[in-house]
Amino acid sequence: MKQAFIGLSLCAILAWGVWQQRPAPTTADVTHREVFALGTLIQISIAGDVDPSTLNQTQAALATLERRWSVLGDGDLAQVNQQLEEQTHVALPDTLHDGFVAARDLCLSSGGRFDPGVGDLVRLWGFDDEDHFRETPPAKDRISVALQQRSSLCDASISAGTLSISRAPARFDFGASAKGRAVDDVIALLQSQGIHNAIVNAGGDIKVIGQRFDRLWRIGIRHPRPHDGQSMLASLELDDGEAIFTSGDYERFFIYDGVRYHHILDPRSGYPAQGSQSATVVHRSAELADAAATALFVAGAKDAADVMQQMGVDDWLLVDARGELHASASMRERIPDLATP
Amino acid sequence: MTRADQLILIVLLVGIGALFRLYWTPPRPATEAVITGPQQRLTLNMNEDTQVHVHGALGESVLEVVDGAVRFVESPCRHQICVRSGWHHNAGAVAACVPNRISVVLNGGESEFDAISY
Repeated sequence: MKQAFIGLSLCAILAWGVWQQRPAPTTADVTHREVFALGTLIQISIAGDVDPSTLNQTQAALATLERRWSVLGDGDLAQVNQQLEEQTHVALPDTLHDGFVAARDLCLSSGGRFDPGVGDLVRLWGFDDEDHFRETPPAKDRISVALQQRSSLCDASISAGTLSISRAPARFDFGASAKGRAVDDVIALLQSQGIHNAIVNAGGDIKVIGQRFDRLWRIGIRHPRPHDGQSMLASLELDDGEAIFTSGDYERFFIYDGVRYHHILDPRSGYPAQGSQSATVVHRSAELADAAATALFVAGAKDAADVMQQMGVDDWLLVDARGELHASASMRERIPDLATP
Repeated sequence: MTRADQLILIVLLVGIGALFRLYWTPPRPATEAVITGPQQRLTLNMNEDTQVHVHGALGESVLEVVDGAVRFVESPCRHQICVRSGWHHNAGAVAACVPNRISVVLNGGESEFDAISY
């Protein structure tokens, strides 16, 4: 009797183990919609069926957000930037107000490492538009002038719907926070439509709600220098409402004279930030995660912990310029097999 | 080994076999690549090596499927992010040439990840 009990117990344990390893439903069970917006391909995936009208609404919302936050064209931000060419006090449209306030707070908490007030520098480096792409760095004196003349959003005041800066011209570029804000907005829109299990992937910047059927959403983090068949740096599961954003030097860049010039500019130097290959942040606010990933990349290993603490980020991961890995204690708890620095 | 032991052993083996048959299948790579351009939508079989030319907003992008993986070979964009992104084979993977408005989505298999952060 005792042996039978042991045998059946073993059976039950094995059955549980096999059950845990069973495959998730295939990708065909997840409904996808891909949308080109905000300078990237955004994929909205919903576990289960969804009314196409809901996806149409999110697609329309993304088109609105893209126009609103683009530095090009005639959207709200482009018009504000146009006024800032000559004026130091500009009425902020309601559509931009909260995004400006949030970005100014993040600028301050990051110590200026995240700063939308780099619009002229981004344009000078040719990273604002496909048509402005360049294969050589700008002249040093031009970078120097743009750096001296720029207006930091950290120094701006926003009161009673008016944005005030110390000097014009100024040009704000929200390339490092608008995508996060848009992802938050899309998730909120999906929730308002009764969807509670979804993942929004904006060109590798991700936020989830709920889970994928009976397991959490699983995310791989790209290795900044894939080698020997190793394309992933790490993987983790995201809890309901979490976002993961990664900034890396491997997407938009050019190489001149053996030096890699990438699109993540250090607002303090005017040059691409040195010292990092990739920076990853997990947070419940996609807008904050977006800005914090940029700030972490710019901070580098030396200041990473302090800057992340100031920005209220617990879970972060950084690959420095030498390829060494640095991570917060809580991130290491989430990813136990993470390589030690 | 008593008869009871033998019976338990048989029950265990049969039980494990049945559970694996019921619940476990090996991970499978994507079976199809859906390529979408401004005016075209192609579905490629990932088991058949092929090369396709797709018209986009800027011009023609060339994509190829080799050994169950797909990549952008050429594209008229200036940053070449799509070409640099290399081969894609996992189900659920997405790749795109944003300036040329051409996307690739891999369907039909099991994937280790639901999305890649990069």
